[in-house]
Amino acid sequence: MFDFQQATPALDRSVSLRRQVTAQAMQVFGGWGYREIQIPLLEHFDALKRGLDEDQIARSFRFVDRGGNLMVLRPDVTPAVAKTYAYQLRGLPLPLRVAYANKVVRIERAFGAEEVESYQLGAERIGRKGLVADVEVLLVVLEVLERLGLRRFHINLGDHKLAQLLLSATGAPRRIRGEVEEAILSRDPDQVRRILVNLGTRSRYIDATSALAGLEGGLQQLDVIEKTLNGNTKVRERIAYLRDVERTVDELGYGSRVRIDLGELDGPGYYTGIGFSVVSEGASRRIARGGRYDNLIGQYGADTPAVGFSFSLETLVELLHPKASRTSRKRHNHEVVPVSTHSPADGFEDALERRRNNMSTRIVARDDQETS
Amino acid sequence: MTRSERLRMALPVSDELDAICGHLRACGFGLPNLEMPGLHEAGDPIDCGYSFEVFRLDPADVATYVEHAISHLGVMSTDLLRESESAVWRPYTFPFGEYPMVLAAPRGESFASLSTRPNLRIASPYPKLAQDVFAHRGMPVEIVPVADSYTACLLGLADAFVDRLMDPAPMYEHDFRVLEVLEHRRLKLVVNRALGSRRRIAIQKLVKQLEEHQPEPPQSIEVPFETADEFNPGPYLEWDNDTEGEVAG
Repeated sequence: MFDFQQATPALDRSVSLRRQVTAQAMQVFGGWGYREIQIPLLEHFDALKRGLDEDQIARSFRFVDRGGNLMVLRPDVTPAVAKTYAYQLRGLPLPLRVAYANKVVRIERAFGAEEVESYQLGAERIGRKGLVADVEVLLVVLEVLERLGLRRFHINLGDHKLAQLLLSATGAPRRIRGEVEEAILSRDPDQVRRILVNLGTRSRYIDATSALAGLEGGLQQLDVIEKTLNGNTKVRERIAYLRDVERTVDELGYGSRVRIDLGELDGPGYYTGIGFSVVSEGASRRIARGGRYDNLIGQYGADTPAVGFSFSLETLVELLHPKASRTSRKRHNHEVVPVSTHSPADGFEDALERRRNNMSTRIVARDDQETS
Repeated sequence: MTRSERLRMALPVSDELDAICGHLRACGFGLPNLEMPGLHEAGDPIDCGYSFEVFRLDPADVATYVEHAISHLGVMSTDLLRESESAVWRPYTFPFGEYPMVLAAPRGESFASLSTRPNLRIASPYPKLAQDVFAHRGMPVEIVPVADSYTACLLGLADAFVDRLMDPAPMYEHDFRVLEVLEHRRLKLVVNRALGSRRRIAIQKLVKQLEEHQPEPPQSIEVPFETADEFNPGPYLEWDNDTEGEVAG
């Protein structure tokens, strides 16, 4: 459990909370064998852009440096890690587990304005496909959240591969697919149907695709798709895989925390398999996001499968800050040590004794001459 | 019932408020008089385990309250959703409140004639939609954000407008015509994206109830296209039976 009492005070309490949350998350990452990696904030745009989608490029900050190179302030850590692996770390034994606490610079929508800088705490597991790797990262995410003392959260688990299979089967051209994806993300089954009906898509593909947009539980969604597209081997295999992931997580006691939600297709364009978001009813933004990206490293070098996630430090602090405020108010009464201005040594002795015992201490000067 | 067992719903103070309340009442909600501001108890008529609280809001604010989890759900139109860019779910489409979003201009204008203007100005209460429409066509335009797009065009502030077409009569009256229907604006139930499993099930129940108690959809609106003019001569033209064409009146 995260101990807010030990948070180092700062003028802005969120500063110390950020530091503590970062330390706690990195400790969990380390406990699972993830080693910290430092990625430069400034990148050559031409080198990085292969791993960025249009939206990420549009939200990034680019400029020409004194040497005439087009530079970009890193808008996402994962492509930068993928590039670093492909260019510098290739050859290390796989799976390679790396973790980071890094700043990203991109335009994010916020209350009435745009946020530019944000921090990501994340981990990437490079070099292995399949259920073991996918479940491992889910467990790391769950442990971080548990260690931070968060109780009201869920991991919504979707699958980009299944969605791509269904969208391809509709025969929709790329632009229309984008519209359908938007409608699925908005959980607007009416709109999904409207678009596909106008396109002349066959009804069973419409039913299966619009099931992705439903609010029903994920297992129900899987049932609908399986029943509708029973003849499609790839779809059936993918559904079986998701059921295996769900069953494994359930057997580990996290069935109530991780729920399959096939509409969870948000995120950058490089996800190719499972995709997940961590949400809490009290937070307006997602706490974390992750997924499998088996083609991203191949944009920079040899194809290497990988899966990873990142926490939004700002959202974690937003959720934890009220708790920190409540606990910090309690400690003021018992930690005060009065120190007389007339003979201060005694008071300071008390203060030193408390500190030797690692007790919180706050010195208050007492002017004896005035009070006497 | 504790605070955590409530579902808060924001209703827009718009032309559709009566229809929305009627639809909810048909599902069993005992909605009080919403003229008064503040939260109103609406009970749990759908037996979902949560007591509903409703409150009124400016139509443009609903998604902000829902996105930031102040309200669990609400009702908002897609035109305003597009402008707000809020990330909310939209699991139900109301059978009323559907209007075409149109690009309109004084009669006789066309896309081609507008594109020849050196500084094309488009009035609209929906600046993002208007910007997207012309950016998509590669036409540089200046968007004039106004609430009353007719007046903006009539008094020369803009050359054309992008707006919701609720009633074609003002179009004929002011001699405007629709150049293109850009999309259809619809009314959606909007839902916070971070709901827990139990609240999601409750909202599924609500959606099911709304689907089962749908009122008849209203008649669709006749769109006054430019091409319809050969059948409806404008106020400054008269139909000449000899030439079977329009002549100046």
